[in-house]
Amino acid sequence: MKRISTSLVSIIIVLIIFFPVFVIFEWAFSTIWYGTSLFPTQLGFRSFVQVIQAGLGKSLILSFTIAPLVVLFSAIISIPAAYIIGTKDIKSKRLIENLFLIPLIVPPIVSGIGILSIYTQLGLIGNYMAIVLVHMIGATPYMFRSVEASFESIDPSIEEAARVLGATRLRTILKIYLPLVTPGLLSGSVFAFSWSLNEFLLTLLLGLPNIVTLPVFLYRYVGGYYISPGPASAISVFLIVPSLFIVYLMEKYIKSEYVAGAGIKG
Amino acid sequence: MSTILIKNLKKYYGKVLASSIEALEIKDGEFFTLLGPSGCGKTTTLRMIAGLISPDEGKILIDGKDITNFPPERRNLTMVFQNFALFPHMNVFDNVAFGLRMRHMTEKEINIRVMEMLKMLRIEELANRRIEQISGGQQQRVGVARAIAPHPSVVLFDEPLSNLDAKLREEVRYELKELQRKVNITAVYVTHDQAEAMTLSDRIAIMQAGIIIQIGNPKEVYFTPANAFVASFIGGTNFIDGDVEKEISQDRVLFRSNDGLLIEARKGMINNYDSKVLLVRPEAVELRRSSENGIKGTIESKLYLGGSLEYRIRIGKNSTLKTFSPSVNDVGDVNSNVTVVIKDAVVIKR
Ligand SMILES: Nc1ncnc2c1ncn2[C@@H]1O[C@H](COP(=O)(O)OP(=O)(O)OP(=O)(O)O)[C@@H](O)[C@H]1O
Ligand SMILES: [Mg+2]
Repeated sequence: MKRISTSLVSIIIVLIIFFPVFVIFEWAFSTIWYGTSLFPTQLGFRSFVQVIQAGLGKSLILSFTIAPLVVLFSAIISIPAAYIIGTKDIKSKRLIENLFLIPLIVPPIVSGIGILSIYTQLGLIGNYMAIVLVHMIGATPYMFRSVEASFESIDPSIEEAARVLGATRLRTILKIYLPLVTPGLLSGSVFAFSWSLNEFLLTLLLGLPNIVTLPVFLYRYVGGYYISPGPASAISVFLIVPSLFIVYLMEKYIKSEYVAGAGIKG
Repeated sequence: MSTILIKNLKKYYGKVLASSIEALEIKDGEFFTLLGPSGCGKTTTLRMIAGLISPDEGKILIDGKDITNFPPERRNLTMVFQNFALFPHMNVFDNVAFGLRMRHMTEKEINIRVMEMLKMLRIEELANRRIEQISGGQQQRVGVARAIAPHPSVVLFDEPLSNLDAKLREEVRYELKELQRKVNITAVYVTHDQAEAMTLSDRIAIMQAGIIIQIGNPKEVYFTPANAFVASFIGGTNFIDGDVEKEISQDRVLFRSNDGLLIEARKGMINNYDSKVLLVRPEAVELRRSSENGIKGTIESKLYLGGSLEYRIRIGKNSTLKTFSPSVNDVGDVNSNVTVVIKDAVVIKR
């Protein structure tokens, strides 16, 4: 009885999560479909051809180069900060942690309007690195929290042992902490990556005309008065597939390898 | 192998004086123990020597060199931790090799040295195991091997056995002693376990509230404790109130108890101004048949402990003596009279 109800619940959850995804795939790979039947009338690549001709390639390159840069830079900022706040007795620890969350609380439209006036003055509208920076506003808090939690879970005497055995502070971070915080770094990277990949509002506001990332590109087909589900779904496929792939990689490689020996305090 | 010299070292936590060491010299190759109750400042002192916390005042010299402001990695000392503090992402071999790699030894030298250490601690078959795949006792052996492998000038131990169960503790304690003899390291060892301190140490410093009360070899601190605190921290005690009646010789006195008993005793470390008390260790009390000569007493209580009997003997209105005797040597029941012979007593500061 219990087994049946758990599998029933699992099936319902999977359906809720995957039904929209399934419909997206149907739209993306249909040539003729009015959305009134369960399956497309005719399958084909028409929508893909349409979006490729409209400039999908450039958006793909933009999205998938900006996201890794956002991950890289937010990691570079987060690791030292998380090391100090996560392992040292800092007086205003909680305050600093909460400061890092402010970007997530302020609505993007509010910060967007603020940044818009600054960027306009500085002539940074449509600038590639300026968009990377803007994505970092939302991505860094995730990266920081995740890496900091990893640092916090490591027994402080492990650092002391390394120091006493002859490692400088830098070598301790590289040889001891970095391998131990890898799980946090990876999950932080996943969050930061998908944040950047999915960021829409700020990129739309500050990136045009040059920086048309996938979500902004997609907006052409769903914005305004008319919706064009075929092309929009074709673009969505490029947002969904990498995310699913990352989740798969995380499941496969991270859990067993690192989490087991991560020096979690007893 | 090295000497450590500490001068006027002080560390405050807020207003609490956590450790204050006026002068201390730890000799080359010595096994030196800081012993004392919880919170007396042992760890604080050790961590200042390690460079993990910096003192508010004072100096630390190793082999004559002032290292007070050196970071831990430049002091050429290592440490064994209470919770082992092994690197969880490395196997046993790499843990032991860590200090050698930091010293830029070649992989060939490292291989030889690590296997030698693992063999010495009888864990060579564990070289490729992950840390979470070995037992607590084995983990602490890895901790010891890791600390000794780089041949540091000093090895610091902070209660390395307290996370092991009683039987294992004794086993590893014995191994530590053997190891220290073999490799002849200068060791500073922190513990609150007096048995550990007695069996391992060349000299013991007994600490209380941040201050060293007495330094001496195990025999000295046991037989001639500086005061009642030291006496009761190390071993069983009987205290008899009274005062020195007169000096018999340079190191012996006659002690008069408040009940009027006269007992000959060693003079200990007292001076004239101290308020005094007589210390009689339970094993220095011998019980005889009441017909024999000596102090007269009555058995107030008697407990069977299996192999031995614990007696409490009343020898005056205000004084009783606790003592043990083998259960095969029963001298009488409660309320019967016995003769007490005190074989050794020492006058100490209250
Ligand atoms: N980080 C700290 N902050 C504030 N007070 C501290 C700190 N570390 C130690 N103390 C205080 O300093 C004193 C000495 O502590 P220490 O840890 O040296 O004692 P210990 O002898 O090692 O005790 P134990 O046997 O319990 O380990 C104690 O009163 C303790 O409360
Ligand atoms: Mg301690």
